[in-house]
Amino acid sequence: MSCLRLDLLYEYLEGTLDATRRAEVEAHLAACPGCRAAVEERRVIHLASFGLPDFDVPADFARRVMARITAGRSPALSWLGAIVGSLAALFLTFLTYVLITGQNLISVLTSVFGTLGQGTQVALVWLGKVAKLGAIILPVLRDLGGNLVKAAGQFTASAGPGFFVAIAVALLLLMVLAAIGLGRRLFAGERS
Amino acid sequence: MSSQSDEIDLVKRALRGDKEAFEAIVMRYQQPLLNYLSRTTGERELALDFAQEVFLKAYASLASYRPRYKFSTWLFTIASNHLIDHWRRKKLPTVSLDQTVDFGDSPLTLQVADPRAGVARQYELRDLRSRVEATLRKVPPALRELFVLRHVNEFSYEEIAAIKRLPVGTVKNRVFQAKEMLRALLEEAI
Repeated sequence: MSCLRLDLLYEYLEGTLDATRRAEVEAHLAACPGCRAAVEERRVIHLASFGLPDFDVPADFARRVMARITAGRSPALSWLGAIVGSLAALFLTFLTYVLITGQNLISVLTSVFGTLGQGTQVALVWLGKVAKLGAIILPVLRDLGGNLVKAAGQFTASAGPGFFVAIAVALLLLMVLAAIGLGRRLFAGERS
Repeated sequence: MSSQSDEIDLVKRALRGDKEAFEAIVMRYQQPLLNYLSRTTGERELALDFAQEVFLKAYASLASYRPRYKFSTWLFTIASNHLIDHWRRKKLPTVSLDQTVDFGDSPLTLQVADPRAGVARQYELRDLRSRVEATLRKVPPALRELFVLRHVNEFSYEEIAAIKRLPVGTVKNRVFQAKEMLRALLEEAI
């Protein structure tokens, strides 16, 4: 066995090597004073690194954290708070409008619901038109697709083997380029 | 009751609005979190501010915690992200996976062990610890963070990999590099 790589040395010190690998390392250490010295050197630093003193936490730290957490507000209910807040804001806007314009509350409500009803009606009409248009276009697209498939079949039947080789090479080239691009993207995503 | 199920219970109670349950979580994690943040930021007051922010973020997103993960891993992921935001704001260098860590004239890669003279054996263990503590500040932040997670917080490599969303092998490699850099810096300081 050649001299120890540092990663193997540290794995040995941390006790994470399997029995076979550990035995190989120990056999090498028994025969190599240089590696033995390197291991002993790092063992002392390894031991020192595990016993660093604790941070001195102020006695009131937890109290200070809790003081910053809004009183009585449950994190699970925060979404409910958002909905209630939005509805309250809507209601206040509505109330302000009624108070400023001096309009009758019932007539304003009727007008709002009337507008909403009209909007829904318009949306339904448009939806019907889109459905009709789809019913016309879809059969045309289906026929076009069928004809394209037929044409492609006739073309490939008449094409020689050279054509297929060229297609295969082009596809292979595209795949290689895609793999390189994907590799670069993944690589960039893993950067710390 | 095991620590994990105990924590899940505390989280459930906190989600129902029980502030004492969340305070128990704070009490449980303030020490390890501040051990981590003080070494990674290198500033006591900043570490205290960050720890508060991390607990507030954890409280705000408590509903997103899934009991199949360890609570400590989840909390330290929040802390680590907070730290990364801080480093980005300060434009401190981070280490990418493909990058060789530059150290002086020679790049630091995991090569064959250097059997030269024992710097460590010249010190008593207690003295060596204070030197390690001081020298750790000179290790680049991204490597220092992994070293702290492993040696100060004593997370397993698998747990660190989950916190940092990195492959286990990469985490090991980085921790070993941090240790080797630390050793070289200790030697340099003689």
